[in-house]
Formats: sequence, C-alpha cells, structure tokens
Amino acid sequence: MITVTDLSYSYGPLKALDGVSFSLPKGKVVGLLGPNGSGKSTLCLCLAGILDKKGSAGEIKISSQDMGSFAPEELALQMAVVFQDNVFSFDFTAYEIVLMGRSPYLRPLQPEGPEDHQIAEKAMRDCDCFELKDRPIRSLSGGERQRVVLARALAQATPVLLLDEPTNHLDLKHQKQILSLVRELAANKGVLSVVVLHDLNLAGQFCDRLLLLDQGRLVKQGTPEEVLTPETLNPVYQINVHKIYHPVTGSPQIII
Amino acid sequence: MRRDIKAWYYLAPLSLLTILLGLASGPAGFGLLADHQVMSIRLPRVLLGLLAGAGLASSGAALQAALGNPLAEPYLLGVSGGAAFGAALALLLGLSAGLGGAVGLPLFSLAFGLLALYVVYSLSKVGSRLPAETVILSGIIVNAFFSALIMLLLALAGRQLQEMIYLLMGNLGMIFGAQSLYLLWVCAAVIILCTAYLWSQGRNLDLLSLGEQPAQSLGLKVEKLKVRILLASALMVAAVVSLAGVIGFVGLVVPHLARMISGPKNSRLLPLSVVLGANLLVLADALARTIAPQEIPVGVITSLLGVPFFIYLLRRKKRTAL
Repeated sequence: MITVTDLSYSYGPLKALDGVSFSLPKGKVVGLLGPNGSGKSTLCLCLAGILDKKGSAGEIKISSQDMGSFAPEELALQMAVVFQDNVFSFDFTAYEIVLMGRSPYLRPLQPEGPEDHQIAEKAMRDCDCFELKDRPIRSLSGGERQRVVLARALAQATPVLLLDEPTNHLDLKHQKQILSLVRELAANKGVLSVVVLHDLNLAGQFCDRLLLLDQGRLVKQGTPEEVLTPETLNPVYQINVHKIYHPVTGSPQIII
Repeated sequence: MRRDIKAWYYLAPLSLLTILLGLASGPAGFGLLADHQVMSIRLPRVLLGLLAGAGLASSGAALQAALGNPLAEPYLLGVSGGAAFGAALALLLGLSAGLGGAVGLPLFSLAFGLLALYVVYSLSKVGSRLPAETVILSGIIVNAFFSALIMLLLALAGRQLQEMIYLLMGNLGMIFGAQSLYLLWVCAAVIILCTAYLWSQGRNLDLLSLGEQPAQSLGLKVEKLKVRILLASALMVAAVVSLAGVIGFVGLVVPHLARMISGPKNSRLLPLSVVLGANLLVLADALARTIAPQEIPVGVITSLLGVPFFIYLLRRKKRTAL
C-alpha cells in the first residue's frame, strides 16, 4: 500500500529524516514511535504529501504509484490526515467540520447529498461525538475537538489514515475507543492506519507493526514483541525500561 | 428556519428603504426625488455606495477565511493603503482625466494594492501558517510605509492636492469627472464577477480557514487557490479605491455582523455580507451628507463606527484566546 525508499528530509541545514525505508501493507495498524524530535511528525507530513518538495529526497509510493504524481484532490481520496494541532479561527459547528471531510467528493457549489450526511453522521457516532454536532467547535474541550477532527478524517472514507498523536488530549476511555476503531477499520475494511504514538503501551496493545525512529533514522521495525524490548528502547530513550506482559491480552508492555 | 434565510426576509425590504433614503437625503435635507438634475448626481452616488460596500465586505469576508484570521481586512492589511498610494501616484502623474483616469488610475491602484497584500502575506508567513498576530503586525508596517509614501506625494502635489485628499478620506462624491460613470460600470463588473467567483469557492474558503495543512489534506491546491482569492479581493478593493478612495472598516465589521447571523459557512456568509455591506455604506453616506452643515467624508463615518467594533472584537478574542 505504502512503500518508502530511502526517504530523507531537511528543514534547511537541519536533517529531520535520514534515509528511511519501509513498506506497509493494507489492513494494518502501524505505530510510529520515537523520542521527541526524532522525526515522527516529519515522516507523517512527508507521507501526507504536505511538506515542501524542496527538502526531500527519496521516494514514496502509494498503491505503487509515485506520490508526486497525485494531485491534492486525488491524494485526498487516498488518505485522510489528523494533524497534531487543530486551531480553529471560526465557530463552525462540529457537524459542519465533519462534513468538510466529504469535500474531496464534491464539486464546487455541489451541495452535500444524503449519502454524505449519512457518512458524516456515522463517523461522528463512531468517534462518540454525535451529541456534540450542533456545538460550536471552539466551545469544545481538547479531547472533544480531537474526536471531531478524527470523525472528519473517517468521513473522508480513505484506504489510508495518517494520525499524528490521535490520543492527545483523550481520556482513557476515548483512547481505547479511538484505537479500537482504527483496529476495526483495519480488520473490516482493510484500512491502513499509520499512527504516531507517544504511549508505548498503547502501541504494544493496538498496533500490528511498529516503526521506531531516532534522530531521523529508522532504528527498528517489526512486531511489538520485536521492537518493544529493553535492548532496543534503552539506547533510544536513554533510560532503563522493563518489559512485562499485559495480564489479559498478553501484549508487551513497557514500564520504567 | 435557518437564521440567514430568515434574515433575507428583512434585508430585502430594508435594502429598498436604504436605496430610497440614499436617493432622498442631501445637504438640503430630504426630498427632491423628482428632480432630474439631483437624481443624475445622486443615483450614481448611491450605486457607487452599494458597489463599494458590497465589494469591501465580500473582500473582507474572503480574506478572513483565506488567511484563517478573523481580523483580516483590506484596510488593516494595508491593501487599501497600497491601492490609495497607487491612485494618488496616478493623480500626481496627471492620470486623472480621459483615458488615463479611466484605465491608468485603477491599474495603478490595483498594482500597489496587490503589492501591499503580497508584502503583508510574505512578512507574516511563519512556516506554512499565517498567525493572527503576525498578519496584523505586518499590516501595520505596510500601512505605515504606504502612509509615509502618501505623505510624500501630498508634499509633492501641486494642483492635484485637493483631489488627492478627497481620495484619501474616502468619499462617494464621484470626484473624477465625466469618465467616472464609465469607471463605475467597470467597477460594477469587477465586483460582481469577483464576488461570484468567491461565492463559487465557498466550500473551499471554509476549508482554507482550517489552515493550510488540513486544507491541503482535504484536497485543495492551497497556494494556487489562495493566490486567486487574494487576487479577487485585491481587485475589488482597487476598483473601490479608484472610485471612492479609502473607506476603512467596512470589510472588517460587516463580515462579523453577517457571521453572527449566518455562521461561518462562506456560501451563506458571502451573499449576506454583500447585502449588509451595500446597505451599511449607503446609510453611512446618507448620514455623511446630512448630519453636518458641510458634507463629511464617508470614510470618517465608517472608521468612527468601525474602531469601537474592532476593539470589541479584540477584547472578545482575548477571552477566547487567539
């Protein structure tokens, strides 16, 4: 689904990504891990096709087609993105924000049809934010906003989801809910999700594969079992961690 | 019923009333609707008021959405200042009569209006974002720069001084003689076409107001679209400035008033702003002609009304955090 070959990215003299290569099949939940400033968000933005081409080298292919050959409106049908900060200057209602996820399917001046409304409503219910639909977006709390923005990404109904710290601001219940939803989309619809996560334990529990970045390099990729080990994590995070297993799910968990 | 639809039921008769009031009010009090000579002066004046108000309001609404910044406005962003400098320069070069006045003056004001907008845009860009603070700061800087240039022109001006001062104060009195009626039609065409274009981009304006990255991930060619929208806005402002001079705050106040009724969705907001702006400016002009023994430039009235509103917005923003 996504193949990245020898991808580098620099912001001027600062090299944020350095020769990263990997390949991700459809229907998987892939966690992007690494300490602060390790290049997770940059990689996410590169995959989203947002960053200026100037600083980038290497190749990204989506469905074996070169990323650069997609026009923005075509790319919006391939992947939906949830960014780290969501700043709103105007008080759209939550529902209006979610409905914007349907815009890649609409021509200018074409009003949203019944199907678009159905999809938007379902996306909001899935993200547990339908009861907020008439609220002005700026009156919502950080976590509520996050769910609305996620619902917008779901409404885009794309085969790929890029989520930059989607569990930010979310309480435990909604962290679990959102990540379970991502798992469900992978299982039922073959959606490939690339998720930037800070919480290694959520990563261990919800991801099929993990990519561990450090100083712009991909230091390790594999299953949670393979990546979440003290040998791998200690040098990257520069602390000593211990590995235990989740008493119910058996997934690897990291404690400090 | 949707609030903006309800508002249209009030706005339609109100607009008729505004036009009648604009036609009927003059320095000698009300009346004289039947006098042909008076009408031949007032009718174009009311028309210009409608156009200028509509153009400034739709330009303000579009700039606010495109820059994702509710404080954006052609006047505060220095576009009006740039356009005024262009127009003043054209006057100084003697381009006020004949073909020069009809083509040269609007072209000059367009060129410098665009230049001002471009400078503000590039000064205020931080990465791919246009934060509210930097936009306003750059607007102030560019405005100061063009104000200084305008002062320079005023100092250099000889017999054109009167015309230039009128231009800078904002005035619907059709000061450029006979060719201005022709210019009025050009201005009308520009404003109608640009507003129609902006309205057709309503959904895209909504997306742009989310910021560049989300807008692009939702399928917009952000740079291209932004350039077009800024261009359409600047075109309208230049058209207005070349006929009516600098009229401040209409572009700021009106979209905010409209947004209170329609919400921020631009396909609803733009038409409402256009009609509110047209009404407001014609009313302000009627006021300018009647409240004092001498006619007051309408720009003075709109600024007097606009500044307190701007302060109110800033204070409210402080509470909701920029």
